[in-house]
Amino acid sequence: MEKQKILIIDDSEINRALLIDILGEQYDVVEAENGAEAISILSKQRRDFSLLLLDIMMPEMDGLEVLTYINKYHWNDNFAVIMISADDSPENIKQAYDLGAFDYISRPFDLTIVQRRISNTMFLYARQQRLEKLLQEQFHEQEKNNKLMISILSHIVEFRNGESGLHILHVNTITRYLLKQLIQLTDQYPLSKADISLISTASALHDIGKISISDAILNKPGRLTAEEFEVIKTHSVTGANMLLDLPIEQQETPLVKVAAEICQWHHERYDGNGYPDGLKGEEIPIAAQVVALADVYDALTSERCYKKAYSHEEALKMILDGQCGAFNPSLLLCLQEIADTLESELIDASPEQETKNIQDIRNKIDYDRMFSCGKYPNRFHKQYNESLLYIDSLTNIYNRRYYDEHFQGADTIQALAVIDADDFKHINDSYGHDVGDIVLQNIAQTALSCVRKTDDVIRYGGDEFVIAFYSIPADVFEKKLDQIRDAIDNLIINNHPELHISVSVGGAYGTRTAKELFKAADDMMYQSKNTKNKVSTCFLNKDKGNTDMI
Amino acid sequence: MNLRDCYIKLGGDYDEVLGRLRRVQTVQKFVYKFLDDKSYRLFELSMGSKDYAEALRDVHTLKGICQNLSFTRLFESSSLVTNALKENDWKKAAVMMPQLSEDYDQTVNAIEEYRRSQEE
Repeated sequence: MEKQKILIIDDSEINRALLIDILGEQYDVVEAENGAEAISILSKQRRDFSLLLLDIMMPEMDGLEVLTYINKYHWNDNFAVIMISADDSPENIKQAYDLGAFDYISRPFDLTIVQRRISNTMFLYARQQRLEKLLQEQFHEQEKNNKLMISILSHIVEFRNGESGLHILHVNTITRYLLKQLIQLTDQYPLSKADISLISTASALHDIGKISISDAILNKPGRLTAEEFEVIKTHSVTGANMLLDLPIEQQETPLVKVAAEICQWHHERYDGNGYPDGLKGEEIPIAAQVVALADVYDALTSERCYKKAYSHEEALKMILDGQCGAFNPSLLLCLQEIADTLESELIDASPEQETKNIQDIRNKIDYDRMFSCGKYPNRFHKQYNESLLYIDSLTNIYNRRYYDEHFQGADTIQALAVIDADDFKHINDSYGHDVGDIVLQNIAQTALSCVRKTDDVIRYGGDEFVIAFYSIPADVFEKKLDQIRDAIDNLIINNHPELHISVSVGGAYGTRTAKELFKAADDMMYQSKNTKNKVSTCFLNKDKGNTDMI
Repeated sequence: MNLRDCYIKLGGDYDEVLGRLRRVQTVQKFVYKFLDDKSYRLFELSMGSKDYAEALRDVHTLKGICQNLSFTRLFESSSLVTNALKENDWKKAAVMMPQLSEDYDQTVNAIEEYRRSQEE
C-alpha cells in the first residue's frame, strides 16, 4: 500500500529533521520551511496529503495565516491539520482550533506520543474517507442503473422515431444545465439539487406519446400535411395519459408527476402559441418550459429525417430570434450562459461517453475554466488567418485591432465594460515581467470564463481589457461585472500565493454607439480607480445627455 | 566522555531526552546537528541590526530546539529573551544577551568536546 503523505511546515531544520526521524518510516514526508512555501506546495498537490504538521511562529507567513488561507479555500476537506506548539501559547492553540485545526502536538516532541497522535488522526481520516468513498460508489451505482433505464427507454422511443439515438440523452443534459443556471440567475423557482436531478431524469419521458403515432407520419421525410401535423400533436396528451393511467401509488410519485407535466406541456410556448392547451407564461410548469427549450435546441443541432443539423451558433441565434416560438426570457439568458458548455458536451457523445461525462462534469468545468481558451481554437480552424490578425498572442483573447475594426461606429452592442488591473506596474517591478504576463493571462481567462459565448473579451492594451455585451438585461450586466471583479480578487497565482490581484471596472449600459459606450465606461473605470477593486456602472438613457450613475 | 557527561556539562536533562526520543543514536544525531543550526547566529545579527521581530522569531526557534533536545540551561536563557522580546522590552532583551551568549558557547563547547572524545 502507498504510504500516506505528511507535509511538515516548520522554520527550524532540526525540528523538521526530528519529526522526519519520528515519522519517516511510516509515512511519506515532505518539508516546507515557511508558510508561503507550504501554500505553494498545497496549491499544486494538496490532494496528495493526508496530514499537515504546522508550526505557528514562522517567517514569511506564520502558521495561523496558513490556516486562515486553508480555511478560506476549504482545503482542509482533504487533510487534517495538526499544530506544533510550544506549550506556552494556549491563546494560539485556541485560535488555531477556531480556524479549523484538528489537534496539536507540543514541544518537546515525545516519540511515542507524536507517533500515536498522528496515527490516530490518520486512522480517523482514512475511515471517514473510506466511508465517503463507499457512499459515493453506492450513489454512482444507483445513478448508473437510472441511466441504464433511461437509455433503454430512449432506445425504444427513438427506435420508432428513427432519431439519432441521442436525443433523449441530450435533452437530459441540456435540461440539467439549464436548471442549474436558472437557480443561479433567479430565486423565482425554488428548485433543490434533488429537484433538478428529478426533472432531468423525467425529461427522458417527454416523447413517450409518440409510441401511439403511426410510423408513416412519424417518419415521413417530407413536409407534413395539416392533418398529419394534428396527429403528431396528440403525442403530448397521449404521453401524459399513459403516465396518468399508472396505478395510483405510482402516479403520485414525484417522478411520474413531473414526467406527466413534461409530456403534456413540452410543446407549449411562453406567449400562449403552443399546444395542446395554449398555456401562457408561468401557467406552464417550469419543468415543461425547460424541457421544451432543451428539446428545440437539440432538434436544431441534430440531423433529422426532414432537415440537416444546424451549428450551435446558428441554433442559438434562431432560438433567440424567436424562430422556434417564444420562451421564458430567463431561460433564454441561461441558454446563452451555457452555450459553450453545451457545445463541448454534446459533440460526439455516445451513450457510454454520456454516462462518463456526467461523472467528469466537475473536472471538465474546472478544466475549461483553467484553460478556457477553448472558445477560440474553433475559430482558429475556421478563420486561421483572421485569428493571427485579431487574437492577442499573450492572452489568447481578441486584440485591439479586432476592437478597432469591428466596433468603431457599431451600434449593436448593448453594454460595454472597461477593466484595468490595479497596481500592475508594481507587480511588474517587484515580481518581474514574466509574472506580470501570467497575471494578464489569468485576468483574461477569468474574464472570459465569466461572460457568455456571445460576448467578446478584448485586450485593449497593456493591462486594460474591454468586454462587449450583446442583448443583456441591465441587472445581469451588473452581476457579471461584479462576478468578474470578485473572481479576479480571488485569483491565486502559481508560486506566488501572497500576490493579490484586483481590477477596477467601469461599465456603460445603453443603446449607443460603441464609441460612446467606451467613453462612458472608461470614465466609470477611472471613478473605480479611486478606491480600486471596484465596479462603477452608468446607464445611458435613450434621450441623450441624461445619464444615471450608480 | 559519554553523552550523559556531555548533558551534565551543558546543563541539560539526559534522562528526559532519552525517555522521549528512545535511542541514544537519535539523541546523539540531533545533538551534533545543533552545531550546524543557524538560529543563534541569525538572532545575534537581527539584534545587531535592531530587527526585533526577526530576532524574536530566531530566538523562539532556538528555544524550541533546546526544548526538543532538553538543553535545559540554554532553553531557560532563550525563554527569558523570547519573553522580553514578546513584551517589546528590547532593553531587557539586550541586558540578557551576555548570559544567553555564555550559555550558548558552553553548550557548543560541551558538544564539541564530546564529539572529539568519540572520534578518538
